[in-house]
Amino acid sequence: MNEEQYMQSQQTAYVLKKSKRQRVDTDGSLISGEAKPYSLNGTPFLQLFKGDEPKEYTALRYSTFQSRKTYQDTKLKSTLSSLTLLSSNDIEAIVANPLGETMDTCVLLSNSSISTSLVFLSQLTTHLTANNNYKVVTINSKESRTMRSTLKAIVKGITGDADSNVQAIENFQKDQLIDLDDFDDFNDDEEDEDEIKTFDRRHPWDLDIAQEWCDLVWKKNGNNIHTSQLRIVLVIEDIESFNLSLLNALLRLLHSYSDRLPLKLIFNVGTNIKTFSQKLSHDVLHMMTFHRFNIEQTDQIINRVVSDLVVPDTLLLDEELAGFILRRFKGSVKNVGDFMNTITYANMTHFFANPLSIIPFLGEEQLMELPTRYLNALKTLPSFRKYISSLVDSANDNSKLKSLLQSDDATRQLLIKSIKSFKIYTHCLKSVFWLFTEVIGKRTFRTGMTHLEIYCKLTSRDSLISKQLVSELLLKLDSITVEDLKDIFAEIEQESHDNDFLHGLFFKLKTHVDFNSLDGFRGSSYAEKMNFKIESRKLVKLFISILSDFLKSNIENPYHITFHELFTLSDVDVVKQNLVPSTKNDIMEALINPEAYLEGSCTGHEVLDRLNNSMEPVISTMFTIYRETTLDLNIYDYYAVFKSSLPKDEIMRDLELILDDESNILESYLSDELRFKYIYQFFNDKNIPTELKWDKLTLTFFLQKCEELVYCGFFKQKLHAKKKAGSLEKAVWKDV
Amino acid sequence: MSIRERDQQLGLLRAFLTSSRETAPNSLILQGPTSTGKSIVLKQVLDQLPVKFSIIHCDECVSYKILWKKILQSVQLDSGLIQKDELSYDALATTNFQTFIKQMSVFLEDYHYDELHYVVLDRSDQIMDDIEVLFKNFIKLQEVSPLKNLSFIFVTRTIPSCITTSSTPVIIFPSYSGDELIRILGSAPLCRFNVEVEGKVLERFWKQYVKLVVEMYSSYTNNIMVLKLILTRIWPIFVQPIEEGELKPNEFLTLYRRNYKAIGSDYVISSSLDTEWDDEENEHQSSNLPTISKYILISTYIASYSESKSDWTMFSRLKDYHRKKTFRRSTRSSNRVNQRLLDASYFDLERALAILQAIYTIETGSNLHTDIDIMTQVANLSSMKLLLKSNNNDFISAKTKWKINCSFEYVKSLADDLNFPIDHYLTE
Repeated sequence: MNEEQYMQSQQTAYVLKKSKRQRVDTDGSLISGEAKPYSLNGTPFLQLFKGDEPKEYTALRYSTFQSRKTYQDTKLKSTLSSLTLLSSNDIEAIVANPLGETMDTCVLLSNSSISTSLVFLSQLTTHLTANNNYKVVTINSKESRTMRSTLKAIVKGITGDADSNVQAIENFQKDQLIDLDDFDDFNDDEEDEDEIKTFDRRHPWDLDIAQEWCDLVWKKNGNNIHTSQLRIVLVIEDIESFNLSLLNALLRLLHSYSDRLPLKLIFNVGTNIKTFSQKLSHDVLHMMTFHRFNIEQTDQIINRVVSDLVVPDTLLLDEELAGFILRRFKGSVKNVGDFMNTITYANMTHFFANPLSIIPFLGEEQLMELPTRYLNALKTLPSFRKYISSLVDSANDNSKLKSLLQSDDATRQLLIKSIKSFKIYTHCLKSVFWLFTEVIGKRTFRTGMTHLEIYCKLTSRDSLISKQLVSELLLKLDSITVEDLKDIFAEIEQESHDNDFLHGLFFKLKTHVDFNSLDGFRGSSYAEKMNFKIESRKLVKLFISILSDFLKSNIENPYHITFHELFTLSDVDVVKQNLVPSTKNDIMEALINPEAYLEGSCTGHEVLDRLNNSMEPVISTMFTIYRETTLDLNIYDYYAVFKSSLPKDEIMRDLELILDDESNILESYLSDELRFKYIYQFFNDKNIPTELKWDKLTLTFFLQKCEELVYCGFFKQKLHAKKKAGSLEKAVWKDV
Repeated sequence: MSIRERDQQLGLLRAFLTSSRETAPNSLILQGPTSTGKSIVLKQVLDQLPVKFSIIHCDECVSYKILWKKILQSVQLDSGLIQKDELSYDALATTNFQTFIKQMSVFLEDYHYDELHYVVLDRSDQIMDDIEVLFKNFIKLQEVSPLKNLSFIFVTRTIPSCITTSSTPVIIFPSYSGDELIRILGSAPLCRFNVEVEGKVLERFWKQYVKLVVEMYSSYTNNIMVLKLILTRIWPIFVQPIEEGELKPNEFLTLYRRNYKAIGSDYVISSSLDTEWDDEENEHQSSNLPTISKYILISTYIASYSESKSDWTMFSRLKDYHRKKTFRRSTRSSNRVNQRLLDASYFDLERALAILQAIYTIETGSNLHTDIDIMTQVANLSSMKLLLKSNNNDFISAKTKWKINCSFEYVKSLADDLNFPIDHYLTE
């Protein structure tokens, strides 16, 4: 799968980047008193610690971020391709099936986003067309509004593209269908005469052409419809949008041709089966054999990404961040690209803004050489303070306390210790996660929880939540059979060879649970059977209780580890602000504070810049007035206020300046010659009083910007007003 | 193959259709419901006659042009004068009915073809064009055109009103009665046992089986194709005990009692789509859409189907106002058409978003933050064609309007997913 295509297709909105135009000079001065630009090899990262950060560390931060991103991308790519291939092969198998009385139809259920399914369809098409025996024709509702245009698309699809392997077909096309391509734009409801003139002796919507084409292929290969591998695969991209009667008629027609054409259908359904089946009439339904495919893979992909990428990662997603992603994913955006973007963005802010972010990636020797600057920074972390205060509270080991505060070595040791304990934690998390998703999740029918949800709960700050998760998941194991239990046991044993955490679990289970004890109860009589049942129930209960005790006592959240801030991605606010901006608020804020956006110079022209900067953008002025008014706004009053609020003299003076500069006025300001002529004449006309010029100028400003505000949804024209169209109404939708 | 229960029609056809041009009818209509043996009886009679004939399936013709082409080509082929490779057809020359007649007569003259030729227009009421024109054009063709040797036979389910007064003979094929159905279907077993059974035993069992099924279903349908489908469909379930050796083929009553429920279930008429649907247990969720998208769809549905003047009562901030409201059905409104049957009306996106805010706050108790995600989802829904944008040709005031493009059932199922009382918000 081409990941880029996939990502593009998933993108449904484009956000303009809010950029404060600030030139970053490389003269070594500090930016906002925090950091110094890094001048080597175009690394976009800054030297933090007010420029004190060693250059190699900055470079290391950047390269660590880069390598993590590359790793994520490749991993995602492989996940995507493996999942698509799976369903593609299944569908191909159905296409290859021999033809029956009914038409084989693959129903692809996508359910959430047509863009995802379109990507899938294009991949499927490429997959199928790789086989020369399959002729894939894709139609959609936009192109097929009438029966004729639909059939034309089908015929064209079948015979249209040249197939280099089949010479006969090429000849056939030359003979019969010369001008088929010219048929793209005609109105097919009437005026057929015109079309036919461009067409060589055939009606382009005649399915017999397709039939003859197939006959030719069969003749060439010496087989017939039943022995040939040739298949015509008709893909309908958006079956929901089709005209119902057209769709039914089309399917009937295709069915009556199904003894002559080797047809297989693929429908892409965006809603659900029930809605879809109501669209087709009963006789049509019986003409087809349906095969269902759930191609909605977003959930699966995310699950895979979470278990392959997020869980084994060195850095942990902070509870809040994970919760934010989860909520967003459940509530609004089901989109893999977006999911990855959020994680990448969180990574980026972490590595960009946090000089300590490299610490988890340093080796022990490098840690020992860590500059004092870092250690001092470490000492300001809340978790360290908490650790110190706990030492103070216990008050029995003052020497340790002192050394921690005074000596760098002690801090280094503590750091190494906590890195180790964090490694143990991630290892433990990985094992528990594996246990939940792979072992327990597969046995219980639909846990109903996504991997992300499990992750969120497992890493929660509140240990009650993770314990509750354990009970919840294990509760579902209750009705499991002893055989399954043995399988679980075997799986755990297999994994436990090189996994200390699971080995502990395995050992505990082995000592307490004895599967052989059941053998004594096997028998044929009723009482023996009952006994066996009771005993096996007991065994299951025991097993689960051991498992649950073990997990509950061993799952800890990582927030007790000193310096846990180093290992978590926690910039949820930054991510939120940048990835999920509030549109209306942003527009309003921009209108109120235009200088945030417009500080820089964009023209390079002195007077024009002054003009731009001396007065606020007209629309901002208008918006300021708008904010101060009541619900209804008389348009004349509005104009009067607006006019008087503008700094008239300055604007007029600058305008004159611009107009005096005759030589380069045209190319500097206006590209439209005709318009410019009028404007120039108007302002240079000595007969018109300045007042009138000013009036006209402001009125154009006003009308233009008024319409813009209406368009932005701040205003609407009052329609029911009795006094003609003389007033505007504030659009007061709450929070919209 | 003999045809049962159609002796009368066979006799009539044999009387009408003769092999000489003098006695052959100009045109003939065979009328009757689907699968009552019209085409097969006709085919048999024609096969036995020493005349040439062509059969055209009108339901495969998208337009008259295709029909003309098919008639022309099949007459040329069936006359035996032209080989398949030599067929030529010029769509340019056949632009209307007159040119079609001209082309046909040119062919007849060129090849001196003046033998009687029957042209059967099968399923002539299912052509995807004006049916009446078809009948009008062809029924008197022999009288008014030079195509004297072509005789047209229409096979149809209904006779259009425009030719009810014409003198064309009509042979009616009535639906089969229950007894006839039993005799026809019971004549030869369609299915077999997996286990070895004597031929006679199978036949006797099949007859009993057909009688049972036909009697059960004949009050619903007497379409022989549907009954065949039902018969073959129930068979594997019905005879399972025999194939597994539990029962003998002569214990029919026991078998019937055991399978009583299977025979009467929906399964027999369900399509493969339904059966697959039943298998899938996790279909309870009607859609995989994100939660907010569902809310957006609901609010756009409300925006499409309720008038903006009632918005302030429905979505008032006074929390209990709308709950207490009972729906008064005034006498005037009862005469009006149900809104849901009408097409959705267009609305401003702002209004729908405001409704979304209101219902979200009322139903979930928490506020919805407007951010880019909501707009993304609107865009997404519109790409799925669940929301439609109006075509705006007015470039000066480019205010796009929106409307919803899904049925009430779908929106209702979404609302059920969310436990959202959508009925409270619809004024009807």
